[in-house]
Amino acid sequence: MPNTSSLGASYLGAIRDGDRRRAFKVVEDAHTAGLDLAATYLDLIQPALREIGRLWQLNLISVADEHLATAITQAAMARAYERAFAWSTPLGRSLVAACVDVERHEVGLRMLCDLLDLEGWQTTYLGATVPVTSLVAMVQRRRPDAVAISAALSPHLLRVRAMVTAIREAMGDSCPLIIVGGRPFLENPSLATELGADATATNAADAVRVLGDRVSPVR
Amino acid sequence: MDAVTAEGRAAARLIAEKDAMASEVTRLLYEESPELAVRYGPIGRERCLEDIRYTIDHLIPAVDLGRPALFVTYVMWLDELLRARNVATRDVVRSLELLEQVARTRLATDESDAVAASIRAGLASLPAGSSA
Repeated sequence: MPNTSSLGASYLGAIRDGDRRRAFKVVEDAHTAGLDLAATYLDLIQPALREIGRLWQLNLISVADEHLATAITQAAMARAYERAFAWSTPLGRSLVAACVDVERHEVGLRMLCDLLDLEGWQTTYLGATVPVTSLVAMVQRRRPDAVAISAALSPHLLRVRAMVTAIREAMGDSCPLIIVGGRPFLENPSLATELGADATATNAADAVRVLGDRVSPVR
Repeated sequence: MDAVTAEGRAAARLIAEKDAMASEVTRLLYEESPELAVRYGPIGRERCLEDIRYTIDHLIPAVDLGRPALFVTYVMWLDELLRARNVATRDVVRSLELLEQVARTRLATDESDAVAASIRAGLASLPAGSSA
């Protein structure tokens, strides 16, 4: 049984110190100990990043420290993903994922796309700060089964609403399922439908489940 | 943004007048407590103005969506953040009180009522009788 809390503490220590190699080692050790990608992301990496945010809030680390911890994490995630990767059978389901136009926090969205990829979804990851018109154009072009929109802060919620409205206006009856996520939705799940979305989820693994349930497998 | 409801109109006004309101709150805060200039220095005043703008950014969705709890979450986060940077809770309290006051002078009654609902929820979340 992998000692997740000990690995988690080691990972946090590594990214807090800005030690890239040590972070990579912890993630490698986690893999050796049998932690799957979802557990690595959600039980190891995500709590560590939340703690980094808290450390900055408490003025114990700087903005640069936080940026470094995030950058190291993105590299560590890519390595973990590579190790977990297998040429899974395509499900014939697709998703476009974007952060709202003012949102820079993209790690959660990346976790979602990686976990969906492993399940055989075809994902189009657009990352942070995606302009509304640009996302709509991408959705019109790709015609995905689902769209995932991420917002980390409550000021970004009105941008989520604008984005959802724009997608629905553009796509009409062919509108994909729209799932939204991020901290404000964790605390207030009913916000999702209030903003015009179809669903929300508590984390990337939960979102994979929700999407699996809600999106028809037959194309 | 709903152009008809008090919440929607209030949020639209906050968006339009954010900078003017933040400047006014900062001015009033420093006028009534000149010692802030000494305690926090010139950079302090700049940061105060930025913080109040950021506070209005968080007030807007709480007002528009009729969810004071969104603003409460923010105020509690802000208070911890500022205390860690040696800004007293009572200064946060005062800036929120002045923000409500400034909103009352600029917005219609029902609009400023909508704003007050969130601001007061935020104030209620801070340690009682914050004179520390």
